[in-house]
Amino acid sequence: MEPVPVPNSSDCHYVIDSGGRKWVRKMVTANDFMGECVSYMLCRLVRVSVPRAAYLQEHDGDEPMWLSAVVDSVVHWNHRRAQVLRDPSELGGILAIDALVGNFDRNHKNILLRPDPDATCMRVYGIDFANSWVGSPRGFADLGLNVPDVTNHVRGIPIEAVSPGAQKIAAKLNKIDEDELAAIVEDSCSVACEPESDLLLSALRDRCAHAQQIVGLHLESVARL
Amino acid sequence: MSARFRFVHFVPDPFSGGRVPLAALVERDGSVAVVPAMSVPGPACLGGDARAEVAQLLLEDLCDATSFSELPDDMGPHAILGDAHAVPVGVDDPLAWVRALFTPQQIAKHTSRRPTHRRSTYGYAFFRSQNVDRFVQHRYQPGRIRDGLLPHAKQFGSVSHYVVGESELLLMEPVLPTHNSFSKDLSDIAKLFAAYGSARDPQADQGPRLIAYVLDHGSRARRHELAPVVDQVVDTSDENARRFFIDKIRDVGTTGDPQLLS
Repeated sequence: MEPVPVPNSSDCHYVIDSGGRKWVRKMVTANDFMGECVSYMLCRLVRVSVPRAAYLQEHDGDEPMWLSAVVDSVVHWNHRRAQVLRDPSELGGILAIDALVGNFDRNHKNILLRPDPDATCMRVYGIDFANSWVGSPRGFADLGLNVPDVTNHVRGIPIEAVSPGAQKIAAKLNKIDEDELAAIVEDSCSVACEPESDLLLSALRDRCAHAQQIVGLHLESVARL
Repeated sequence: MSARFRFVHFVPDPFSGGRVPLAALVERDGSVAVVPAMSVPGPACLGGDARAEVAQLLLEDLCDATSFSELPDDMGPHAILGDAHAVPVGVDDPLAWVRALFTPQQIAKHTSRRPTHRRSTYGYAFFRSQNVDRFVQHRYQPGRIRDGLLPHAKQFGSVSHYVVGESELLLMEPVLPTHNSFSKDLSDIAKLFAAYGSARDPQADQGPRLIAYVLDHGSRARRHELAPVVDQVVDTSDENARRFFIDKIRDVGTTGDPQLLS
């Protein structure tokens, strides 16, 4: 098991499971896990480009570890790569989820780009939602309808190109069924032993109801960088 | 005068642990230079086209390296730094000494291996050496900006480098007469620029300027073959020509608005 050679990722290791699937395993706190888990399930539900994920919990009550499928052949974001996105709406979708869950850590290392099929046409993947307000029910509720801080956000996002994709995902978030939202919250809180699931569900429901507005404001703050 | 070097390795697959040296960083008197490997294995060795593409991208990103202790932030998980080593005392030219580590002469004598670097990698290194890399973008594709090209130009493929200004667009291809694939390069560049030339919109106020810049002047300098299809062939070994070329890039680039690209 080798550490992932990315700065400040000492808690990340490459692992391979019995089925041969390759993962990046990350040690996380309960709040980090909640941020990852809720965000991932929302991404899957509205089809946002993120690697497949799972969690590992050796015994009931243990802190879960987060597993993110290894995406082969990737580089990180820089502003020059903005011109070679295969589909800017993929990036727009990631930013929409960031806005909704209050992710304040969309730095360049958390955007992966993969040649598809070559370096003039890159597919985008969003990783690492651990630093999202949705991981902390009380903090998420206090966030209200505000957008996450973008101090650490990557620069050079082609806002005009990504906006339609972001708003498309915002519209989908707006229409998520109440039962589906409840299932996402319940599953996440159950694994993380988080007691304030009602508070989280209520806050998440409110933000989904205002998803277009929140996503629009988030894109405006990213555009001002 | 002491110098140090360390290799930058490409890790195709973290699970197998294999490493391929991509380049070396050489530190001398506080400044860092990048020495790219003479050749990098192709897709069959690295495990696929995407990995080979990433290896080339990393080589280009390395042109931005200014630190001896860490890699540029955007390189991703496939690049790692090797240990630092001292260049032996008595070596007058540390860059040449490190470069020689990548070019085992005995192998070179008995094989016909071709450098697998893209011309664009050498081209961007030139722009960096002239301190105009911040104005130069990679891989121009028609239709990204108001470029004065007809819509069907999208079919013609990308140009290695470009500079976009408020009202001017420079499309630039590097020419390496000493490159093993020089004849094919010349043919490719001629076809590409001939196609772009034919796609210039006659209604546009100002179309893109097509420039071939020659990076060295080897014996096979057939660059005049490009003259009919480009607006300018720049011999960068000519001091005046180089200066005018760099000034032009700087003049155009400083008027550019990055938002035009989005």
